[in-house]
Amino acid sequence: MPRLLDASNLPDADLVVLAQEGRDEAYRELIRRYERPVFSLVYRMVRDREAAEDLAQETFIKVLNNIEKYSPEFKFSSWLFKIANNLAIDSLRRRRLQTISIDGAAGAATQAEIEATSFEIGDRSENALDAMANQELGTAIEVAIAKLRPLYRSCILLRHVDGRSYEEIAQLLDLPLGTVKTYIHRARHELREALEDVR
Amino acid sequence: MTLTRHLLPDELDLLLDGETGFGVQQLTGHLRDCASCRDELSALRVFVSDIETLPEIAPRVGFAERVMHEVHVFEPWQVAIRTSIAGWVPSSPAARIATGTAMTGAAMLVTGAAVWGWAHRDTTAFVGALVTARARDGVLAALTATAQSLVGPLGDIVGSGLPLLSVAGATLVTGAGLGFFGLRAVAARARRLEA
Repeated sequence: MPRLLDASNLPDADLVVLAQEGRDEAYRELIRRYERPVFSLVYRMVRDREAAEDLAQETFIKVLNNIEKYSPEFKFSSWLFKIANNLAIDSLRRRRLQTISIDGAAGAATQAEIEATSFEIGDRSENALDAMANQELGTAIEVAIAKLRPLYRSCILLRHVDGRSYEEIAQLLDLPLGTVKTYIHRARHELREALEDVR
Repeated sequence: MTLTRHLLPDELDLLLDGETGFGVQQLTGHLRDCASCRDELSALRVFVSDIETLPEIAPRVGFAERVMHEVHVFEPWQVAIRTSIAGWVPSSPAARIATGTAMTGAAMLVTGAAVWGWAHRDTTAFVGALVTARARDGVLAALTATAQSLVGPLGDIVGSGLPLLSVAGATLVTGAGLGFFGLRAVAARARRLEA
């Protein structure tokens, strides 16, 4: 029996090596570490909870079943986000999801579907008024991001929600660095215009 | 040279991103003198920080289990061997030292015997042949006696030695065949699991 492993303190690169050696705990730690960021990215891209669940799941399955092909010269998270983003973009292309509604995805017909696909904005404020104001602003930002074209959306989410560098985003999306900068600048301007009434 | 106009959106973006390239010095120079552009840049920073504080969204409970259900955790053979060997290594330092000493002693003994055998290889070959012949005669005699006591006349035929060799040869071929196909089946299963 392999010794029990405290995977929570290990860097991603070490976890990947352990996963390549068939250590179950390493796989689970990688999922635990990235399930929320990946799901958040995919959810904000496709705006449908069920589809986002499936896409996030597919992302992890693809990555973990090919873990032996991982090249350590890249960050593990970049690889993961690249696959998540590609799957989300492909899904959007397939579904051509145009309609944006904060009360649920375009295809949501029943109350259960509306609840399943509506946004859940977290509450980090200290009092109820702040909470409401933050929630309102957060909701407005979510809606504005959802209205961006998919590549702008990817760029802005990767840059400002996941905190990736321009170079990393360029590598991740297979785009020239200048294009990424332009997309982010344009996306910011579109967002600011969309949020002018809220602020 | 300072700018005589307000900063353009792209220029504000450059400052927001902390760019330091060609032309940025001129922009920062303008920023020092222009309160309006400073306000604009501050508003842009607040706006970006609002985006950055968007909360993370969690998938449904049991996400990891659902993923792991579809993931094939594969342990390479070299890791499996290493893990198996590691399982035999005692956990306490004292036990490890004792085991190490015993293993070293055994290795020295085997090496010494091998060296002695090589140095006296004529004697070793002679003694080896003698021991083999004695063992073979002994086994044949024991088998003959057993066969005679079990099947009577049939034992006489077996006692002739030839049928016994045929049976042994057939057993060897069957065993080798079973071993070969068994290993192929194990390898095929391992490949399937890996895939």
